[in-house]
Amino acid sequence: MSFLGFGRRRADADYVAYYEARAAAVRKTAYVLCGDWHLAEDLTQIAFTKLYRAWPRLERHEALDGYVRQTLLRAFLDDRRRPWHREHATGPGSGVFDVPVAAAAYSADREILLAALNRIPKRRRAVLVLRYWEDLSVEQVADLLDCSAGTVRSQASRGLADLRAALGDDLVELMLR
Amino acid sequence: MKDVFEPLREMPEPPLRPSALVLRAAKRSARRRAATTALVVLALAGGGSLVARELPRHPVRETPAAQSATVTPTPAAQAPSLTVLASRSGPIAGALIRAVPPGYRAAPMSLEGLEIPAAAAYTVRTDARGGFRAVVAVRVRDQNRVGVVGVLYGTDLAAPKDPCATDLGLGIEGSTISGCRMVTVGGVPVRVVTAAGPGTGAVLSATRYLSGGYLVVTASQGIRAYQVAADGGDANTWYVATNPHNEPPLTGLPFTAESLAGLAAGPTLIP
Repeated sequence: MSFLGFGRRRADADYVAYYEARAAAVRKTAYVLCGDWHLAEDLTQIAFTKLYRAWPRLERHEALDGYVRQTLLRAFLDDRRRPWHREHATGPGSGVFDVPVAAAAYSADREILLAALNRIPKRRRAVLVLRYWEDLSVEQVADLLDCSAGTVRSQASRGLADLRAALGDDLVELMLR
Repeated sequence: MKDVFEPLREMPEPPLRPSALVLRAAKRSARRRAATTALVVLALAGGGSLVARELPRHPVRETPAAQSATVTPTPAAQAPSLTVLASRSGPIAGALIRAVPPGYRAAPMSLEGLEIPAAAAYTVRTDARGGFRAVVAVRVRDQNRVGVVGVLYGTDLAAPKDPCATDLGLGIEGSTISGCRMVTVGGVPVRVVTAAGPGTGAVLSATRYLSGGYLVVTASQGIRAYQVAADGGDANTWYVATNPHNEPPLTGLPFTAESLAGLAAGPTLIP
């Protein structure tokens, strides 16, 4: 039984196709934001769950990306206040995150960078990730965060200062590699 | 500055959650939302040529629209509270079922349009001031054809000075309005709106303003396959499959404007 207007097979198939095409990138952004794969997966699930409900009114592909990015960001910024981490589905096959990544695959650079990012306040971190990881314009970031372009610039500036302070000499090394 | 993030671009990742699992979780979440917070636009109504079994018990007098400019709330009847509606949804559904003319089968209906074993009053919206809308609906069947009769209770709107000038789509949102007139039944003024919509066919609503709220008895010839629903929580919009099996509409409305107005004006829907 279907409850939603896009519960038709075609719409579900489109949704699944979109998930398979974009979920990895979305989750990676979530990981850069939060530094935790489990959390990143949950944030991704939240974003795609909301996308499922909104699917009928999102016709353009760019709108899908924008919607997912926005819901992901909101979930990331709201995670202390919402019980989302208790709501995600579990079941057979959902324990895939217990698969360890080969130790050799870790890099010192990544560890240093992620640790530094995690020391930056969340909203500033979000600005940095949107500007320099997602490569969005100041205006696009302002739109996503519902603030002015000036606020984005100042947050980015402070975030970079935080990052420089957190990385210290490592920043130069990261830039040169 | 982008270069700083380079070490993260090629990092190894754990496997993604399978799409089937994500889809299942999304559907489950949507169902949960639909059951608790959806504002379902049930396009209901009456207005066919059949004779109602439970015709108005009071003489019906139609008031020309030109003379109906001012209607005050009926002081005798108080709008029910959510608590009362929750506990009295069974008798309300029973009153709707008994009002359906002979020749049809009627049963309580869920927000998804399916028959359910026990009647339920669904709170479909609340506003910041505590005003609410709640609905009890009954699915009307004639062999493989289906329509709906329902009653929407609300406390979020005050009685307008001219009922035919505002909120005509109340309870029948999404339909194209074709007429509005006032019908007085036993001294109770009832606004009757005629409308139609794709999938629903003919639609009729009978609105009675109460003290502190209103009730709208609505009936529709058919059930739209999907109805727009709004999530008051985060302003999302989605669709609820109110006719998931795409059953065809009734051949005519089971209610006339007068019989529906009589039902709205009578005591059976005031719990």
